[in-house]
Amino acid sequence: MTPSSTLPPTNLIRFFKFLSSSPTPPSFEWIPYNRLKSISYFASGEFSSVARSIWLDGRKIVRIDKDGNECVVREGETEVCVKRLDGWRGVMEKGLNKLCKGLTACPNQTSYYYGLSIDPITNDILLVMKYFPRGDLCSFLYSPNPETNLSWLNRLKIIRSVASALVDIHKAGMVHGNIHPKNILRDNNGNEDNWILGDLGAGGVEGCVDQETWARGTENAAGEVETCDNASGDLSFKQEIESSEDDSLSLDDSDHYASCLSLYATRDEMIGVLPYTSPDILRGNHPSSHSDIYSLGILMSELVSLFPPYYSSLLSPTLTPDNFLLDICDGYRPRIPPYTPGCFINLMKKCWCDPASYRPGAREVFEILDRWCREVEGNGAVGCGERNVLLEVERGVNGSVEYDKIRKMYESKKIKLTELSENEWEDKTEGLESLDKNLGLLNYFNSNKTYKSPGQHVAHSNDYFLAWLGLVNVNFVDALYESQTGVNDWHHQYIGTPTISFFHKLSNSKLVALVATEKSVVAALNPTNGNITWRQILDEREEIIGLKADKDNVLSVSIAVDYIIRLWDGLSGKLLWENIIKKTDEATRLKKADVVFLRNEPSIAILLDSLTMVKFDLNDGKKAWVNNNDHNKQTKFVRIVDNGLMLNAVALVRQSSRYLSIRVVTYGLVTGDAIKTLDIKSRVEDEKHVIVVGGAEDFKAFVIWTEKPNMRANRLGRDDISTEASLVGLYNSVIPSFAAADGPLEFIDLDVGTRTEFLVEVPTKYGTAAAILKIDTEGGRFLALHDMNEREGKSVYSAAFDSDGKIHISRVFNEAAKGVNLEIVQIFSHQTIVNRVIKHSVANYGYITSSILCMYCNEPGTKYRMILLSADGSIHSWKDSSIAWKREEPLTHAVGVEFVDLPEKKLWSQEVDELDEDADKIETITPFNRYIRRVSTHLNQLRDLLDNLIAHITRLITNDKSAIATKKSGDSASLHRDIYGFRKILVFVTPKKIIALDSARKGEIVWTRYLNYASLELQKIFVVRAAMIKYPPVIIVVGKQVTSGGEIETRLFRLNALTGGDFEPEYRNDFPADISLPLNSIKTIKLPIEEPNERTHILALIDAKRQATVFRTFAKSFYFTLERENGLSGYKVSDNEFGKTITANEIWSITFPSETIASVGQRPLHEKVSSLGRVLGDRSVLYKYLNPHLVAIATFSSTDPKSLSIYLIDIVKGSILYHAVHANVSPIHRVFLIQVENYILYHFWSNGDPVKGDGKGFQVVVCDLYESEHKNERFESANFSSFSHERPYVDTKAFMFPHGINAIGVTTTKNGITTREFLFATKTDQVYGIAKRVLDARRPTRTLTAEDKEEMLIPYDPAIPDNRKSMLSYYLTVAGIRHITTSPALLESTSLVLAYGLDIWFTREAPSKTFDVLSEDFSKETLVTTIVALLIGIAVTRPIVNRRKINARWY
Amino acid sequence: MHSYSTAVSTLHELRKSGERKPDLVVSLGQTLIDGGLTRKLGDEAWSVYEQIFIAALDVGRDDLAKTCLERLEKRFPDSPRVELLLGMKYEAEKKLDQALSIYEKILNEDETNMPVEKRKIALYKTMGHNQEAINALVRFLDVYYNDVEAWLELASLYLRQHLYQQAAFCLEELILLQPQNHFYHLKYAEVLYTSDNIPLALKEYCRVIELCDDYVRALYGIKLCTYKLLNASSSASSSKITGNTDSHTLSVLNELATERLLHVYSHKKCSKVIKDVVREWLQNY
Repeated sequence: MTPSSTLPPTNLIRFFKFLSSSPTPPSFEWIPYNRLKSISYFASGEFSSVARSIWLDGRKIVRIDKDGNECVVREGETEVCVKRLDGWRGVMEKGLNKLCKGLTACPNQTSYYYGLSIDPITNDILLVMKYFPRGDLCSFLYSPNPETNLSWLNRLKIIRSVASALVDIHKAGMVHGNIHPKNILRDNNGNEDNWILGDLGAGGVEGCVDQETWARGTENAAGEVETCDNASGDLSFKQEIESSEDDSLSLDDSDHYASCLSLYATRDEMIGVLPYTSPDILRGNHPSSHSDIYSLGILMSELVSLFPPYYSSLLSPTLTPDNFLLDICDGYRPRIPPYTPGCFINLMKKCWCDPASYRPGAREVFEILDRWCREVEGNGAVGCGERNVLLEVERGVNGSVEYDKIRKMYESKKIKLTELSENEWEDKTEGLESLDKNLGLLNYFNSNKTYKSPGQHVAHSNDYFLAWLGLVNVNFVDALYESQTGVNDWHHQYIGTPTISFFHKLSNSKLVALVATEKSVVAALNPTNGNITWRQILDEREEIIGLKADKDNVLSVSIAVDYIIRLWDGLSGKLLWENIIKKTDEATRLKKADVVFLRNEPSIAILLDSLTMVKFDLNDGKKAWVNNNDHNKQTKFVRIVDNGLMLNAVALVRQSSRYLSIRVVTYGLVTGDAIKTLDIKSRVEDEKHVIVVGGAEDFKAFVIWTEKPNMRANRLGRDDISTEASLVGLYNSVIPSFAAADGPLEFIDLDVGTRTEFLVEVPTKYGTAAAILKIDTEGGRFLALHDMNEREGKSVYSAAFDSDGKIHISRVFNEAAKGVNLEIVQIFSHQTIVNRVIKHSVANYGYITSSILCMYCNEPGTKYRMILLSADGSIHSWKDSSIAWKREEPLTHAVGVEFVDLPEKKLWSQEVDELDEDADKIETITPFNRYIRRVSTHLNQLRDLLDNLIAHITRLITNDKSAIATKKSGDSASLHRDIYGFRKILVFVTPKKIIALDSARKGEIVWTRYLNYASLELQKIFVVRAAMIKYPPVIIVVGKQVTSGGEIETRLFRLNALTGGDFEPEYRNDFPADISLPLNSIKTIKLPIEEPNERTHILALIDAKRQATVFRTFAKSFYFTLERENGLSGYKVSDNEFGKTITANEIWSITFPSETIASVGQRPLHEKVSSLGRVLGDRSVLYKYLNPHLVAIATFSSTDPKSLSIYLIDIVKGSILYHAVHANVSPIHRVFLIQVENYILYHFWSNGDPVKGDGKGFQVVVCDLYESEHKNERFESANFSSFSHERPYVDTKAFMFPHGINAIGVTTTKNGITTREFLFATKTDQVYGIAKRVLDARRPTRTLTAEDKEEMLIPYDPAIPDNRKSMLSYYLTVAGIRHITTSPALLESTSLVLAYGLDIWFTREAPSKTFDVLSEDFSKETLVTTIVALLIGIAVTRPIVNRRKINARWY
Repeated sequence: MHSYSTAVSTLHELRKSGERKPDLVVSLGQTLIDGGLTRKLGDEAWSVYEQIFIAALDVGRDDLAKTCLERLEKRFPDSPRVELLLGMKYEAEKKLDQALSIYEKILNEDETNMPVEKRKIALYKTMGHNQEAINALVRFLDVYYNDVEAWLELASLYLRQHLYQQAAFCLEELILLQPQNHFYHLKYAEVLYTSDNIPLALKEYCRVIELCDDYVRALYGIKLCTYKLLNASSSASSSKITGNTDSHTLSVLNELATERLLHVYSHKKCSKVIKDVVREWLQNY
């Protein structure tokens, strides 16, 4: 049959001989070239080409003929696929060996390989394979018209068939290495699809892939893939696709064949489909059975979601292959759709877990899938819905899978690992490896633990880690249990002082107060208790200029660079849409935007500035039109009115220097064109003299203005003056109280929607007189509704409708004699509903500046509710003449805070008072009274004892840890310390107000003090005296004030920190509590000296103006520095007398040429350092450099590219002890620097290496200062002196930091023994705590020696892990933190942490765990239960034992 | 309650010391049982019952003994200790054969029951089966060779049979067990004297005096021994009988004994009659 000329060449004969000698000879045969007919190539590349062809003979089939003899016949003409391997020749031997291995080891999986042939002309090898006309899985899933429904069962079956193929392959000791949908071929077997795992050539024999095959195979395959990467190749490829579609050959077929026998990686390159490639291969390992399982896992996720893996992320334009690759290595995995069955998720996650060794085996996966398949088959439709439903759900959002866009990512391709810089890759892989080594186990334990106790935070896992490795204790995991949240910490959310506020009823008939604040917060407050229903914090640079609500839509307009219009969902506060309107350059910046929800269509019109009018679609936020008016700059728009058909905008046009005239512009609703512009003849003096009311229908809106001597009104849309009333007439005859008018009439907009009521007010000598007027919409006449009479002082008005739609007006005013008064008038009945004095403390909050009223509340018995703002910026709510709640919003402006220790209770009681009394004084009290006093003291003590007992017992029973704290401090009058010193007073200073919070009682306000002085701005706060026996703690608040003469004065207020009252010692009348000093203090220093009589610390105030220094009181000589923009000067103060002004002399000055100071650090005053040195592993000591005069300075160079310099300066002699430069540091992000003990830590943004482009990101550098580099070495002199020539040894390490930060802090403890923890306020509004042990300059870069282990050092890892468990603030979002302050408690282990900015958050942190007190999770219950059980046991067994003892004696 | 606590403490002390004082025990026990106070004793009650029972048997208060025994039987059915008490009751009622059968039954079950074994020996003695008692005692001492009282009892049984040699052996054992007890030395000396081993008897008498000054009975023994030895030495082969002691020592010993005896009687406030009798006797020896 076979012509001799077509026998295989000799080198191949051996191959076929070998094949036939194998135990199960595969039907892989030599096919003579002339038996292949009509070879038509449809895809070709540089090294191979693929063709369709007809094999004339067909495969061998063994048949049994009539006689029972076996005879071999051929199938006849068969359609086959032929792959011409041009490059095959070079690697023939090795390649054939591999093919051979595959063919013999798992014949089931390679049955689609038919044979080999050789083109006699070119001598190329042709590989003949089965032709799969139905394509592969990829084309099946993502073809535009999916032909069949892909049921859950079918999906399982697809995975099962892949898994079963893997079982075979792995059993044969081989690896597939390139599983992806294009390699899963669809073989039609009757009705049912049969899925075959193709392209077995790619992998190798596990564990014995030799380097040569590896390299050569890549050479071949790389070439092959390059054709795909090649642009022209790609083009021709596509043309082929188009033409081949006619031949019912899909693109993916050709694709598949093109990548048949494609291979994998060398050391620095690898071939594969990146999304399906296991991270262990990406790290440079050889493919293994584990990596196959990984690909299977990814395939599973693809089949669940019916989207290519990482579809959405791959579409993103910012994605680069490097990032993507690293992300995968970091554990990034495809999104799991929410409808996925749980068991399936588990299996999937197991399959793609990292490290590889934790993945299940192929057999295990197959068995699980097989069981599921049978179960699903048995139960019919189980699992998730049909494909179409899923398609609706999933693709409805994103549109159809645009596969072409991301095709490249899903193609087998060469991934150049060398694209990453050599070093970085080295670092990365090393990091990953060490991560594997160190954290792999940890993660494993974590995950194990999580499985065991779901719903709990994993905590203290490091113990396991330690036990497991017996090595270094890495303090990575230090989280809270969920039950501990909110026990030791409290969080106050603030919004800032509102600029716009109104009541609004939502669709669920809930009433909320919507506010926009100066802190760029849009919030909804619950009017009953003042809680925040929702709030949205905008960028702090944005200013909110408009807020309006309609139904559930809340629209905010804010301005940063451009206008940003956002629509929020009123119920949840979620952002519905956002749109940006460019601010036109000429536009004057108006601080108010007028928003109108259009009545007849779901749209909004916004008047942004004097030039821009915009209309948005309410549903999708699309701009309908923008009209940039061509009015001149003098035009100032006031209001827009929607009358249903068109928009009327009222503008004021500057006519002359004195007068404005009114212009009304009418806009069409559809196009936004100005239809009509009417200039009304008018002369208005001020904006206040114009008001726009009404607008219910066309021509029912009016603009009203006063133009002496008349009050005039114009019907919008008409060009004439419709109504005119004489002001004199109004004053003299209509409104009696206006007779006393002493100034011009002003309009006050009551914000009553389309109603036409409005309020007029005139100043009088005594106060103000007001009246309600109305304009008749039909006749256009003015009607006087109600005369509100004359009232003292300034009045604040607001209006609201009751349930019948009647208007009520509230008027708040301050009467000198009585206090703050509230009147509410019902207009139509002229009835005064409320008229009473409200207990509003003007001293603490200032006068009321604005109010909103609500007359229709759901609460029964409540007539009205008001929300008011007072001058200090706090929000108040009044309800039925009482104060319902308050919000201390001035706290959002806090500029400083101090922790004030409370006095001990024992030292602050009646008893002490008694003991302290003089003998003379005791004489004056009668013995009986003394006796009564004593008894009452004892009774009080007895009651305290009882309270404590009850509290302890309730705590034991209810397990409520907070019970003790609240119970103990239940009596707010007794401010005293708790046993552990956790209770302190936090005194916040804001520009106008001082507010004290109690740290123990969830931050309840203890006292507030409003310093109502014009132009006073408080800046600093100092605790000058701690609590002592008989002496209250004293604080001094320092502020600046501009006097009426324009001079700057420094003002100091001395306050009792427990009450907020003035502190005036009895024995010194010459030292008042409030001091004004005629100097402009630029620096205030708290000196470490006490005044002997009062025992208060002394403050030094440094005056800027005279360039000299002025002191209020005496001090010994001391040094300080003053910063200039580009330099630093040191001053010395000496020889001073008490009470005299003294001078300081500049002793040195440093100028940093072309540098600006970015940040200055200074060691905290009165810092406690427990140990002089650091003990190393071999018990030797590195001595810390603890220079109290050391200042760290960070500067930016002013030249490009910017660099960051760090200087350590001794301020006594001005010498630079250390200097470091970081190149390419961007000043976009602030530099944060903190100096504590002998550490200096700074955080900055590095632009990285401009050439290589790496190293971009946030960095933290830590410097440890030691006296010497060598162990056990100290400075020679016994006493430290700045004048000696010693320099510190600076040990530094830099780390990549995962977050940008807004503030930095460090824990402080009582004696400084506990390890420090650095606290970072991240830009994601969280507090991130990292132990000093992690941010340690001594972390070794070499492998750990025994000494390092003894010292408990952690090997250096450049990346600080972004561990969620290190988030001190757990899941809380502490918005806008700007400062982190810490304070020690009486427990050495614990530090009190306060983070504030917009929100205030307080917690206790124990960086080394609470080693000096039983931990929170110590189970006292268990202890008690055990004891009780033992007692019961004894009680039960004692008689038994006794009986036995007696019986023993008697028997 | 005072009486109760004193009663209890008295009974406790008596039990501890092993004294019997049956009258006292019965009277105290009677008040305890009548007053229903035994319940308050708790676990101590059972040994108190036992104590009262034995005392009641001693004084022939059968009713009280019965009450005690009933209560004990109720609490400890089949207890061998209670059965022993029952046997004692039979003994008291002169039902000796029944008692013996009970003891034997108990010993069949547990042949190491010492109290029963002892009781059985005592029973043999009561029944007059001296030889059986001796056999039983010898068997008993084979096991409990350090039981002093048993040795003493055996010695007395031997003496009853005039088996002086064996009795002396028993006493030697006793001296080995308790060498400080002068009484055993005395007893031994007397047995030796009776069996005509005079020199050794003298030594033992001297030992008694050594252990207990001016012990009158020993002084008499010395007197008799020296007298006998001095006479024998003068008459017959002296060294054989007197042993190593020379006559001078003997006479000095004799004189010393006389002197001590006179001294003892002179100091005692004894009647003149007795003094005369003694003086008369002393002159004879």
